Amino acid sequence: MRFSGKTIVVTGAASGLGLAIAGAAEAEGARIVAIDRAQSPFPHARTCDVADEAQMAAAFAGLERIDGLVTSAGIARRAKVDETAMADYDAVMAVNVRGAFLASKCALPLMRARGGSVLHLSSGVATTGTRNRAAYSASKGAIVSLTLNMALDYARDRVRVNCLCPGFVNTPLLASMPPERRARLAALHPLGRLGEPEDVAHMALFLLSDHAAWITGQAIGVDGGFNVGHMDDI
Amino acid sequence: MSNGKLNGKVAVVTGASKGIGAGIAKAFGAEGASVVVNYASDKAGADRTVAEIVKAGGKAIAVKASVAEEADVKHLFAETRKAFGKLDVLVNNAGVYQFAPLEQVTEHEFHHQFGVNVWGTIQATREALPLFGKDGGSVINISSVVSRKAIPGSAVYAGTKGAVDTLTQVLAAELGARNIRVNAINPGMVESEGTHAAGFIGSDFQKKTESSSPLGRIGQPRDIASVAVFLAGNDAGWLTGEKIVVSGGF
Repeated sequence: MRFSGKTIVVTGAASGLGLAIAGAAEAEGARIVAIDRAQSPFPHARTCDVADEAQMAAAFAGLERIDGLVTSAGIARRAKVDETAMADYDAVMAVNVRGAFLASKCALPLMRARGGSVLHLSSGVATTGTRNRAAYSASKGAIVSLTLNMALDYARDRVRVNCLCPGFVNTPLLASMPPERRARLAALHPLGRLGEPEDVAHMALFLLSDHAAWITGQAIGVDGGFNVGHMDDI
Repeated sequence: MSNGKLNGKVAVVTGASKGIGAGIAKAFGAEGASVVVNYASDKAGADRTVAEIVKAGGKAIAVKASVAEEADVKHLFAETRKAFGKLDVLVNNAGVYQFAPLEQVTEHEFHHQFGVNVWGTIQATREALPLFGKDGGSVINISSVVSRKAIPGSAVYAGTKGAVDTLTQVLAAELGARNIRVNAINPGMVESEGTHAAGFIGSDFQKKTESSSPLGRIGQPRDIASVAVFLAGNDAGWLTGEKIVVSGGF
């Protein structure tokens, strides 16, 4: 199996994409260290706030080697700039940016000896304008920049760093939407459907594996074509 | 790698007599695909690619066709239909390049490179369409890092690859409804017969490229082939319109 003997830390592993990626990696032999504010369904699950430095240091305590890191913990708020409460802005930035930064800071000392693969979760909205998601879009743009920087800073330690920019995926966040809005969202993707968490997990595992040995510093869309443009007849 | 990821699929790889194309064709064969190994002139190279696939237990045929010539491309897909009856994966890999300072760029060279790299890609994709079944298919265009990283002397070649990037996006949007996915791989410098012949391997250009590549090495055909296998397979079922840079970070 691709990940036998490998330890992969996944933040946000209790739900959504983090859960799908961690589950798929575990099925291929990885030992998953699951970090989430909620309890994750993995043997090595640690409950903590990814934005809290002391809690994260505790969550990483005792780990001797890390082969992969996936930063999937994320939250979203729907609002434009003038309607955003600064507390919401701070919450989004804390989890999405500070959380990914802090997880990297904790993991890198344990990855540099042998090399490894870091995968951040950005979003299609980082590079495509989307309405009503000001703080969320900005946080995901920051993740792309963080990816570029880390790819350069740690390449000579053989740590590859990439990020994924998913389109709209069938996660609990979307499940609560009215069917008509879900259909509208699906139509934004040239392949005509929303993504499934597995669609993103397949690419995540590919980037974590040695098959992607020459790929670093990339922001890769897994989005049914969302990024190439809308499918409305004009 | 050989997990039968492409079992039952039929793939055409253009320009597969050597280099990246041969690497992709062999990886596809090892993963269970039936492979049409296209070549424009190097029959011996194509036969070698086929022989290696067959020796490893795979299925492959060689078909001669220049992707810039309409009659040749029609012949390529007619032979594909005859041998395997359908098509699931098309890799538009056939390409030519010549680097030259602007003063030495000629109209002939411009048309030659655009003819193979751009028109060849469009024409091969067009002629492949009727062979894709109701489940759609995967088109993989081999572009280059030069479309986004400016290298002096590459105006014509980089122009062709910029066009390949753009048409990849357009065709992804245009063919998405038929479940035909269209993606590009943008490789950095790869060690191949082509880069050896061009004098890149062992040159200062290679050293400069490696020193400005985060992962510190040029690529091998297998680095590109593993990405092509992923894009060709069902695991990439929601991936279209992407340009995946495989360059060690260059």
